Amino acid sequence: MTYDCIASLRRAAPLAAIITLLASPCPTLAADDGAVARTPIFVDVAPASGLDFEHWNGMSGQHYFIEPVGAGAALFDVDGDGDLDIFLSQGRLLEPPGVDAKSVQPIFAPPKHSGGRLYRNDLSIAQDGQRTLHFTDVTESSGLKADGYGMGVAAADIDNDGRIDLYLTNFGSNQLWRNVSKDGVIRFVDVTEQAGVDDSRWSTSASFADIDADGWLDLFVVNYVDFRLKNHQPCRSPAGRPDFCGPLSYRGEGDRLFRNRGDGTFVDITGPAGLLDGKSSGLGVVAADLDSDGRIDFYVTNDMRQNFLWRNLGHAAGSDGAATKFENVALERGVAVSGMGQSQASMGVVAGDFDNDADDDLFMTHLNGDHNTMYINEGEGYFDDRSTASGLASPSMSMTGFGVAMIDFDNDGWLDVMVANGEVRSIEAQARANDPFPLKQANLLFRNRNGRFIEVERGELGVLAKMEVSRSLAVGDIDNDGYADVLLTNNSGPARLLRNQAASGAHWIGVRAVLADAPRDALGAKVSVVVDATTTLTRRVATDGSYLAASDPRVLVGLGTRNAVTAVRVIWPGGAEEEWRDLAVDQYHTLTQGTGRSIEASP
Amino acid sequence: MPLPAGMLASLALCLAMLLVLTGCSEPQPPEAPLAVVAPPVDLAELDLAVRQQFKERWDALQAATPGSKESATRWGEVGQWFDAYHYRDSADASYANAAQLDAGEPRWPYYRGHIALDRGDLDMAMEEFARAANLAPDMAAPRVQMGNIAMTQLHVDVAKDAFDRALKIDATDPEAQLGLGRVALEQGDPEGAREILEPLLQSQPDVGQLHYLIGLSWRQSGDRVKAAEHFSKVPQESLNQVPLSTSDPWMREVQLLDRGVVTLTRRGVREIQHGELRHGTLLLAQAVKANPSTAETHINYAQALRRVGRPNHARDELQEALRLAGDSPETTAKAHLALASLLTSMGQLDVAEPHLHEVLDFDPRSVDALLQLGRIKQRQGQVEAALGQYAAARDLAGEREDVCFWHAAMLLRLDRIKLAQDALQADIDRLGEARSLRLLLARLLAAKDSPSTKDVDSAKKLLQSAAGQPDVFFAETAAMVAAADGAFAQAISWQDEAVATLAESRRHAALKTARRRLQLYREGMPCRNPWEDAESMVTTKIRTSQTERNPS
Repeated sequence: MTYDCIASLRRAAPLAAIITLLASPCPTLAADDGAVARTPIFVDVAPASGLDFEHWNGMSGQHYFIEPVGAGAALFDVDGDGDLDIFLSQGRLLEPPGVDAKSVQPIFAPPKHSGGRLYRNDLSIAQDGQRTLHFTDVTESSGLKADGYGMGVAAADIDNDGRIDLYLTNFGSNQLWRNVSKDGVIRFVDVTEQAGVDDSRWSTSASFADIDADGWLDLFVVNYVDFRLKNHQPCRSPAGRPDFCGPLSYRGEGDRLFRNRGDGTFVDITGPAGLLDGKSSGLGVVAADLDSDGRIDFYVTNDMRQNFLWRNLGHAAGSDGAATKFENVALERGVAVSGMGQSQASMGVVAGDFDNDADDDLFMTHLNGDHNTMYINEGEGYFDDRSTASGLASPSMSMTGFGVAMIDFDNDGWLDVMVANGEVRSIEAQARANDPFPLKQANLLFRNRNGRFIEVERGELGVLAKMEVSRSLAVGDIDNDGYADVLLTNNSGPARLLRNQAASGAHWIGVRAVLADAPRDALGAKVSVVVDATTTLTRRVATDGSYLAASDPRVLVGLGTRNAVTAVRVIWPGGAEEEWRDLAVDQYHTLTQGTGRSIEASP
Repeated sequence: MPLPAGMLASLALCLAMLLVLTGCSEPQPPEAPLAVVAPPVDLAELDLAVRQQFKERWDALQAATPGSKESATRWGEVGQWFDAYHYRDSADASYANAAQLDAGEPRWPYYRGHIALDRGDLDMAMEEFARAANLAPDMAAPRVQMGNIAMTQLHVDVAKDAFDRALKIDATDPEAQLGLGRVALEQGDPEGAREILEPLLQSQPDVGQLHYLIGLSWRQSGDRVKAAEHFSKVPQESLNQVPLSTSDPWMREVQLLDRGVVTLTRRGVREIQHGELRHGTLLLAQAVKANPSTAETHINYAQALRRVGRPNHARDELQEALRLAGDSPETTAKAHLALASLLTSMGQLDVAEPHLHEVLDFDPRSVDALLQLGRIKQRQGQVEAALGQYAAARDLAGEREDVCFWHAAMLLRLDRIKLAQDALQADIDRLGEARSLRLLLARLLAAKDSPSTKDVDSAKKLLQSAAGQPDVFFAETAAMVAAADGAFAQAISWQDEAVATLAESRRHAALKTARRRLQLYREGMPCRNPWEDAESMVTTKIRTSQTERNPS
């Protein structure tokens, strides 16, 4: 009798049958997989809505390290009309040094438009509630010229004018685009130089966060390794075939922290803040108050090296106040390496309250042969690797995960998990089939059932089961129907806009938390929805996390069958806390700092 | 009523364990067709030695009588080749054929179990390991793997049972001991975990994984200081992690098969990093033999030869690398850079310099080439030109402490004291810690020949901020500051230590300078120059007797 026998038995047999089997050495069971046709939870509406983006990595057979790494995406309301627009990063031709670009034959045809693209969402809602998505490419008219080799996106309002600006990380110089849109006309100006936030190295993810609670968003930029076309190393598979390099083939790079002076300029405080020793191979970042001390910390995922938890110490005693200090406490807090004590190839990362105990946990994606890791916050910023117990480990072991989304797709009040997969090394079967980019894998989706994750069945995966080289995931409610949607990017493939079709009938409440002194999203705030005497759901206001992505800053909280909430509380950056009561469910609310009932902080 | 999934999974695991005990294995119909396996599509691109290895195994398979036991063995050997070089689909199919033709051989299901494990198919892995365990009752390895799977599935009791069984077969099996340690941790028994893991750590003291798990046990016990002690021994990079040495002869068979350049190079580099220069060099020589037409392997081998004191042979290898790298400008640049560095160390500065220009022609942003060129100019006495190279490097890589250091050192050498001070201060502000820059600035502030900048109190503070386990550079700086402060006894004591360490490590040029400074202090005179002509930054740690001294 094989273990397969046992597995099929597990699906269907009652205890009595198992006992019988124990007495009978090698029986044969009739196959009964009990398969039920299911409806996909997400449907790709990109083609139908005019989102016609196709990523191009510019590969020409050199196996440049950069080729399989990109690219990113952002969901953000560029024109302030209340719906989410889209930015997608693009690659470009990678011509070997000293070779005329015209003589280089790319493996895939270049896209019809070069550079990153900006799409305006022209969402229309009919009287019967029917929502129709339509996207218009407004890149040219917006003035946004994202012509670097695009990697990631960070989206936030850097000048407190109520308009969301874009920071684009590149393989090469980065760009900061200031949003100067007015009266619905979308316009951007390049302020990289005057703002002083360029980094000419290979940057990946970035995050905006107010590290010193001065009301201005600072910027953390993650850098990968010192790879340039000119120091390309010819790497090989174990057998000797040319292959992509790993991160340890190149010197790790340091990340960079810029403090926003509030006058349109930033100052590089990487050294004074104590971050300079952190030379590694960073791919992901989240800014969150992980130790619940009221200050924003940074968690950085590094590829094949220890991850960093930069704990915000506040202003060092005796300092001039210019520099907030950080120290890396990842090892002692249990989030530098896996619970088995091994550095993992960490890619994307999210911080969120997966177990609904009001603090932020961490979940990150890893390379094939290893598992994705869930660190549960035990309180005060000490973590425990609960990957196995969570149910997220085993299904990920054969995958290489990049983007990750925490998304309560069924609005049951528990944050579910979606993972974008795609290899970085050749998959044998695809190479045998002469696939020019044999790195394709299916994506994963898990339901959170009281902190234990259950893999969603294939029938419900729909387009997520398609074999692609998926990379970035950005989450947002693209049609404002109260169900979170997802923007998925594929390296050398189409961007997919995954509209949530769950339609579980569950209730929800949406919150946009806006500062008093500036008409912008209060990134770093914590929103707690008090559902009843025993249930409070806490979510952070953030756009960062995942991989190379920027997401919807609005907080969307699923309520399941509960059709009312007792209160909504917001802890603002800086620590002040307010409460709102009598908020209706199944709609969004804009909560402006200072308009709620103030709550005294506990001693 | 169906049972909860967790309980059913436990029952299933128990069944699998039961299979091991009862000897139940599924019969394979002998007439079932074998899986079709073809040579790798990229065979022509593989390392020469690897190709030959495949050919031998493939030819042996073709020569075996189809359906015979010998054929089973040959299929297994072909499977091992695929496995060793990460062609997992073909490896699995080959092992399946081997197992079908010889159901009594335990290795084939064992290897299939590992492949299933890599795919995340724990059920199949468990089945295969159970089959292997059944066929090989005296082998611990399959039981250890069953225990590991049970741990992954959080069936802690089942895991403990499997590890115990493995230890009954081999009481010293490290992986089984590690497993039991993990079981204890999972069961909230940190003392129990340490009882198992600490003896294992004694026998394998460099295994970061053991340090981490013991650290976790101390954290569980509430002792964060002891936890931190162990956590600090976990290496920063996965590559530097020393794996637990296991006693798994079957996996070793596969691992030893890997004679590819990548593995030989990795092993060679690791040996060299651990001070095993000769063995490391030997492995890199084997890598050259495995694929003599790859420039990179010659470069790596040359670097090793240089380390073992064979510069002429190293030069020949680099010249061969240059020849082979013809159509790859990146590799050509790398070979030029390595050759320039080697020739510089051999004193052939004029021959070295053109190689660096080749690098810079290809990549004007090559900071390493600029730094090397600076050093050559410095040694040729062209200090102004050296400064130019260092300044260019600093413009490109201002975040690199070593680059900023050499730039400032050269300004000092040219007596541009104020410029040096400003540059150092700006770099320290930007870079934060920057120990070497702080020490250099301390020297500048203490130097007798720069009265306009002399500030002994600030120098002391800088010294204090750069304290740590003292090295020669620190000791000489501390001596300089002490002498500037009139504390000559202390200066002599520090300088003595520096001299002793330099003598011991045979750093003759640096020793000469250090002895001259020592003489100055003995004569009650402070040091004039913060940085001398041929001075280099020596970071050899000084003897521990000095480490408890107050640096100021």
